[in-house]
Amino acid sequence: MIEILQYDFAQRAVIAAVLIGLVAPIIGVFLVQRRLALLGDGTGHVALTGVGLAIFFNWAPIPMALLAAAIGAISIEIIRDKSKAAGDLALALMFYGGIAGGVMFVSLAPASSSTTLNSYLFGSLTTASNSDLLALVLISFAIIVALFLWGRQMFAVGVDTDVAKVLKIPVRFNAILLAILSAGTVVVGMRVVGLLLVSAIMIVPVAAAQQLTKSFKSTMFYGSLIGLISSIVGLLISFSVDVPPGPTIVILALLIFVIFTVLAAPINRRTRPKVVKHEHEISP
Amino acid sequence: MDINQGEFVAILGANGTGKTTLLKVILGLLPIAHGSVSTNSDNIGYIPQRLPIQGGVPISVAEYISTGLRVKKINPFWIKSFESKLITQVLNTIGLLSIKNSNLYNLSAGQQRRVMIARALISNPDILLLDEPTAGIDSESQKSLKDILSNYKKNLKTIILVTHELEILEPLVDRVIVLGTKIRGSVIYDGGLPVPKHLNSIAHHSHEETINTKSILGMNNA
Repeated sequence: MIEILQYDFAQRAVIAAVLIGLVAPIIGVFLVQRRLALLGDGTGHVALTGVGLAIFFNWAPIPMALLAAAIGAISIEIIRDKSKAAGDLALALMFYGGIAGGVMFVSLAPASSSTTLNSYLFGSLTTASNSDLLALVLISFAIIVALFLWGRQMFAVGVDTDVAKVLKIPVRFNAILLAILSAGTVVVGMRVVGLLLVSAIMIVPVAAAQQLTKSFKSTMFYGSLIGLISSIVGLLISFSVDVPPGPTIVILALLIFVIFTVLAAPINRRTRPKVVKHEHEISP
Repeated sequence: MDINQGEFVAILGANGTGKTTLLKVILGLLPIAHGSVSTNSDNIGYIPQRLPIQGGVPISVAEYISTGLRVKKINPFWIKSFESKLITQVLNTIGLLSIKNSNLYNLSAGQQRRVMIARALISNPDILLLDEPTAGIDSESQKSLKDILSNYKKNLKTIILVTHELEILEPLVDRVIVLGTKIRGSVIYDGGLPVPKHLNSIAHHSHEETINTKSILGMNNA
């Protein structure tokens, strides 16, 4: 298994896996907090149309996927802001439209094949070029910078939109920023996990971490750690066994979720009464 | 309707009379068709009736309170050391320092309400608006809430309260505004306590969901 890491494609795949493992749960924790766990899925499906267009016109897939994903995510957010029910429907329409558009354009492309489509749907170890990797590094860096600049605002809006408005925090700007960051994450994950499962690496590590954490920050930290471990181990397994990396990574993350959920039950039973007890201890 | 600085005003009325709507209009959360709202300060604290439904991500008490800080636009979400000191200070004031790092969603309703108040108070607002602050919380938390608001009032801060049940907060209230049922948003009483006896019917009408309807509008003192 170690020998394979001497190859350039394997090294690029490992770097891409590290990036998506670290970054996806960081954005995922904001999505879960706002009950937008499926936004990444919708965005991923729309990104497939971008990939399909890029293959059809022989353009670079990453910028097109990013553009399509960003347009999709912003549209969902704007519609959701008007009406929650309409937002739900918009998400469903994007699921269908995104995947139909992607499959159609890839089929129409002169050099199309099911292998090309599968590599975007479920991730592939060999498709990432050096320029692709550079794009992924830049997008990941932009996501981290955005969190440094607007993290407090994004968190406050997620905690309570009304109070955030009273405090003059630009709620709409923050919602759109999160949509764009989600689109960026989808594109970073496209190469490793694939567009159909990229949302899982955003959400499942967060779902696992929050079984045992007590704060947003620790959920983000441990979510990222779980994402990183799942991505690297999943990738290494897919090097040795002939399976695509995306499903392997997601199954590992789900396994961690199940283990943490089982562990959390007795731990939470022990800790919760203590918190309630405080009220009696401190009350006069 | 004019509310003076340092006044503690309670807005009462039957369900559907527009109490919460009025509060949200004052806060700028809802547009208004006619008229205008002007305040002598932009530093307004708001304590909603309940925590919004979330996706299940734990939030520590300290993190929650940090969202009430008026910070620079550019700011990472984690708490800086000077902010942590402010949070410690405000939690100490309300007697909940020991739960600073606890998950907010694991606390009792009474503790959550006090933490919500701490979040509003951390930026030392000039005007404080509360939506049903005593609803659904235990008597100890209600007493604690009364003490917090009593201390806050001493600093000549304006407090506007929308409530079904004055009860424990009654001694702090300077003025009561009762909204009418016939015309949504109309004021049928604006004055001190106790309110006139004929408003007892509104009290009974409006408080189908509360336990003690008589004391709600201060009728115990009438």
